[in-house]
Amino acid sequence: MTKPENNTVNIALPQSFSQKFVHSLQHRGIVAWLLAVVLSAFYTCIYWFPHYLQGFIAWFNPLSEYLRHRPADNWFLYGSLYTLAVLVFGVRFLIKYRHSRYQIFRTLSLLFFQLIFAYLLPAFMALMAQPEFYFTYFFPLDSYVLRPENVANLLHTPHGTGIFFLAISVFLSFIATPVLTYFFGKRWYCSWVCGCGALAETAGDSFRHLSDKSLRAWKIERWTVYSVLVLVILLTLILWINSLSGGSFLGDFSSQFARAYGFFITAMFSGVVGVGFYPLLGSRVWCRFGCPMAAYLGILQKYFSRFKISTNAAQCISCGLCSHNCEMGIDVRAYAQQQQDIVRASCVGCGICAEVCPRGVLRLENISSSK
Amino acid sequence: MHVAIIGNGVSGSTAAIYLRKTNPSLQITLISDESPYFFARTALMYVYMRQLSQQSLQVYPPDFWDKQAISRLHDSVRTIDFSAKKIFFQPTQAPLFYDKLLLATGATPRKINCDGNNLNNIFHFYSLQDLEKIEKSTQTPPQNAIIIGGGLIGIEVAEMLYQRNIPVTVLVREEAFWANVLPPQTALLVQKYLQQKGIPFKNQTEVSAFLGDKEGKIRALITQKGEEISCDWACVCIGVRPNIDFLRNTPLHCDKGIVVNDFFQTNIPDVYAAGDCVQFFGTNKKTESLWYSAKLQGELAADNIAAKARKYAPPIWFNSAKFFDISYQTYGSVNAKLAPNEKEIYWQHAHKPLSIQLVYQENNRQFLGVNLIGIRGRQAVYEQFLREKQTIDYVLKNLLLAHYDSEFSPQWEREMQSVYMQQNP
Repeated sequence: MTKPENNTVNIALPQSFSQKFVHSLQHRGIVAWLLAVVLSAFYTCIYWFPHYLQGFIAWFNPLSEYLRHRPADNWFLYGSLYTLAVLVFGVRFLIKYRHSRYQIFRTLSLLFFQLIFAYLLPAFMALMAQPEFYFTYFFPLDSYVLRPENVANLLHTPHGTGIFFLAISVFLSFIATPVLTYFFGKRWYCSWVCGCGALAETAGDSFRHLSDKSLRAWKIERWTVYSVLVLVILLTLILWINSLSGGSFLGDFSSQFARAYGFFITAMFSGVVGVGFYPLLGSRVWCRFGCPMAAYLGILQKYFSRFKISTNAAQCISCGLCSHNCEMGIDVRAYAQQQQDIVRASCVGCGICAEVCPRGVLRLENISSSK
Repeated sequence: MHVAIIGNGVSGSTAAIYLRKTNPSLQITLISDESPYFFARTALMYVYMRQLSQQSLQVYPPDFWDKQAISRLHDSVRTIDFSAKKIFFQPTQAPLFYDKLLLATGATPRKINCDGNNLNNIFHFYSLQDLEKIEKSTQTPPQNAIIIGGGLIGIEVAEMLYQRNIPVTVLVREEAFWANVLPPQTALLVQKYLQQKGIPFKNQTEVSAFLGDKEGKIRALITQKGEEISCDWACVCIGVRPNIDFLRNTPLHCDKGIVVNDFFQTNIPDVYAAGDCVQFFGTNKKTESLWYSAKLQGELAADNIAAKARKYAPPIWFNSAKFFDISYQTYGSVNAKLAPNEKEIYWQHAHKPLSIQLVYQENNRQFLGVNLIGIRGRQAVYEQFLREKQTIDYVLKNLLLAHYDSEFSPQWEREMQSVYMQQNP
C-alpha cells in the first residue's frame, strides 16, 4: 500500500573540494577507507613487523635518549605518536567545546593522564631501572599485571617498589573502581583517565557518529564485551592454577591461552580494529565491544551507581542530535522523547549528547533520587 | 476497526503509536504526502547545516512501523466523504474506508498578502520539500538574502545561511527580535548578540510588495515605509496557520482551525482532530502551533479514539528554543509586556547573553513564570513552583533546585538571588 519514496534532492551534499574531502573522511568514503588501511597497517607493523618501521623508529632516538637514556624501540615510537595525537587533537577538541566546562575539565584530565602517567612516568621509571608500570591501566584491562609471572617479578624488585605497584594495582581494580563508579559512573575512568578513551575522545571525535545505533549492534555488544571479561578472568585463573600446581594443570594450555588472548584481544581487537577502524566503525569500537574494563565498569554503572543522564521532563523535540553524536551507539533520543532517564551500562559519560542538544534536555548527574 | 490518521507529524504519529500500544488488534493507517515516515521537523535545519544526515531525521528505525503493524500511505488526500467514511486520493488510487478518522494535518506557512508574493526565489521553511527548495536555491549562494519575520523560524533560517557563509538580513515587524513574545530587555539582548555575530536586523519593517525581474525572480522588496530593499532570495517566516484548506466546504466545522471539544471530537461523529490544525471549541484561544502541545494532543486523542475519555487540560506552559548558540526556556506565563498587577525581578549578565526574568503577582507575591536566556532550568522544579502557587520569595530561596546547566557550569541563579537581596534587604 505504501508508495515508493520520492525524495529526490540530496540535502547538504558537499560542494567544494575540502568539503568533499571531509565528507568522504567522515562518511566512510574513499578517504576514510584509505586512512583505515594506513592505520591498521601501522598497527600491524608495530605489533608484528617492527623492522619495517626501523627508519621511522630511528627518528625518535634523540627523544628516547633524552627521556630514557636508551634508543627508541617500536613501543616508544607508538607511545610517542599516540601521546602526540592525543595532545594535538585534544587541543582541537578543547577549542571546539570551549563553551562547556565539563568538556574542558574532562579533556584536560585525559591529556594529563596520557602525557604524565602513560608516557613520561613510564619513561622516567625506565630511566630509574624500575619495572614497567602504568598507573592508569589495571586489571581487567591490563590482563598482564595480575599474572603469576608478573606478580613474582614485582615481588622481587629491589627496594620493594614492585610490591608498592602491585598493591596500587589491586587497590585500583577492586576498591577504587567500585567506589568511584558508585559515585560518578564509569565515566571517571573511560572519559577522564583511560588512554584508549583519550584517543577516542580526541583523535576519534570526528568519527563518533559512525557508531551503529541499531538494536542488533546492542545485542552483539552485550555478547562480545562480557565474553572478553569472562575470557580475561578465566585466563588469569587458569594461569594461577597452572602456576600453583607447578605447571601440571592442562599442560601448556594456559600459555597458549595467554598467547591467543594477546593476539586476538589485545593486538587485533584493541589495536588493529579498535583504532585502525576508527574511520569505518567509529571511535569507541574497542570500548564498546571489547574492553573488559568497560564491561566491569558497565555492570557497576548499571546496578551500583548513582550516575545517570537525566531528561528534562517533556522538552525533547526528537531532533536526534544526541543519538547521532553518541560514540557508544546509544539511541539517546529513544529515551529522551519518552521522558526517560538514561541508565546504560555502555555510557562512558562523555557528555556530548547533553552538549549538542539544542533544547538542553540532557544532564549528566550523580544523583540517585528523582530530584 | 480501522483508524485512519491524516498527517504523520508528531501528533499523528504519536497517536498511532499510542493506539497500537493500547489496542493490539486495531488496523491503523498513517497518511502523509510530505514524507513516507515520521521525521523530526524541528531538526530540518541541522540537515542543512550538515550536523545530521537526512536519514537520522527518522525518529524511529525504518523497520519500526512494520513491526508495529502501522500501515503508511504516502499520498495526497484530495477530499473526504464524511458520510460514507471514505478518503479520496488521486483518481488512480482506490478510496480508503475508515471507521474512525484522526485529522492531524498540521500547519502551513502563512503567506504575505501582497503583490509579487508568488515570485521565484521566495521561500518558506516548514516542510521537507521547503528544505529541498532552499537547498537547491542556495547551492549557488544568493547575493542578498532577506528573511522576513523575527521569530523562531526566521532565526533558524538565518543560522542555516550564516553557517554556509551566505550574508543575510532579517526584517522584523517589532522593535526587536521576537518582541511580541520576549520582554523588551530580553529581545534587545538577543538581537544585540546576533547583530554582533554579523546578522543585520531591520526593525519595525514590514513588506508591502515584492518586485520581480524579467524571469519572474525576486529582485527587491518594498517596505511599508516605502523603502526599496534589493534582494535575490527571500524566506517568509511570519508564522503558520492550520493546514485545513482541503477541508473547507465540507460538513466539518472549521474556524481558524478544525473546531474540537476537549476530547478532540469534531462536529462529525468518529472524526477527531489534534495538533497544529485544531482550535478548541468555546475558547478564544488561538491555535497552538508547538511541537510539545502537538505531541501531548496526539497521545490524548489516541485515548479518546480508543473510547477512553481523556480531557485535554493544557499543561503548565513551557517552551524552549535556540537562537544560534543562545538557549531560551520559559515556564509559566511571562508576557512580553507585564500586566498592571505583575512585577518582575530581572538579572542580566554584564556582557554575556545570559538573563533570568522572574515574574510574580504584586498583591500576593505568587510566582507566575520565568524566562531564561542562556541558562537551562529544570522543568519539574519550575512546574512544582507553579503548581503549588509558591511565592516569589520561596522560589528565589530555592532557585538552585532548578539549576540544570551542565556540571561545573557557573550557578547564575546565585546572581539572581543577590539581585533579590538588594531589592529586599
